Amino acid sequence: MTDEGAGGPEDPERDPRWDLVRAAARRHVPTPPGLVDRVLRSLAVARQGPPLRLPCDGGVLTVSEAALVHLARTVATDQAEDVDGVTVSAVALADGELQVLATIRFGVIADEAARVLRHCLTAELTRLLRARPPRVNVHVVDVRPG
Amino acid sequence: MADSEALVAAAAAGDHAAFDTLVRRHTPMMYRVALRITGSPAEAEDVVQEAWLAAWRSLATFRRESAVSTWLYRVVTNGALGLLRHHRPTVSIESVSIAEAPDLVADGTPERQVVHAEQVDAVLRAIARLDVAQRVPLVLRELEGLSYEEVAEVLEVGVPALRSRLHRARVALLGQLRER
Repeated sequence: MTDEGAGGPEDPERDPRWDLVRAAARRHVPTPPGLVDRVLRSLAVARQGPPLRLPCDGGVLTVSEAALVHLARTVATDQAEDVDGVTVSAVALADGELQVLATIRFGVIADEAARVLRHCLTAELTRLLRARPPRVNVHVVDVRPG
Repeated sequence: MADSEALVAAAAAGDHAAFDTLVRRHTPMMYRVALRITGSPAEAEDVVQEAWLAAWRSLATFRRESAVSTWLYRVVTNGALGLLRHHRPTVSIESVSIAEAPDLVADGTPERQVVHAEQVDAVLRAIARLDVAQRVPLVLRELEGLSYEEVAEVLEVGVPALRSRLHRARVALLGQLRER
């Protein structure tokens, strides 16, 4: 299929002036200095989201979502080393609850492994935060060969 | 170096560093498109900032059948169009000075090179004066070099309709260049 009018006397692309349009396409447009950094800073702020409010003795603990997820990921990875056959793939906060994605070794009972990891992670987060952490859910998303 | 599709998949899984890599890789294109559509460096920066936030928020709904670049072209184009809808009807390209971007004629004299750069400036100003409905597909096709299919996907129109719009845009642009 050709353009409407392409090839005919009205074809603008055959006009000698069209070379200037092609030259315009080749013109380099410099990216403003610092624009990428400004975008990255905006994203970092957006990722923080509103702070979470966790009930604790005598009041409320406020913590950013990013900080809580980072802590939970570190703790979950550490705790999983004590749970036979379990490794943590990812941790995220969704709908106000911590979602832990885990991989288990073939032969490990998934339900039991998830329950143990959930219990250990909740207890350790409670100890570290001195506040009640969000509910923890552990999802077994993959099985690796023994 | 990871391809953009892999980076989007990683970003959708929560890998912030992967998304940051996409930002570093594609911001020059995003800015160029925003500038060529809005004609204003300040507004183009705003469009790029908002476009990246929009892309980040829509990571989960990114359709894998689209190329990442096509998706980002769509996001930034929609951002620029959204801005223009709330702003003035015409724009003027004032952003690219000859000194900044001397697309010099390789075998020309300095005088000839300056004249050529001025002529290219005039083309960019003429494009900026086109109606938005003509300017946007022209920018994507003629300046960005996207295929008809890619432009149609970005603008979510059929290829035949796009070809008609582009033809009218080319005729309008050439008309402006002949008036000079």
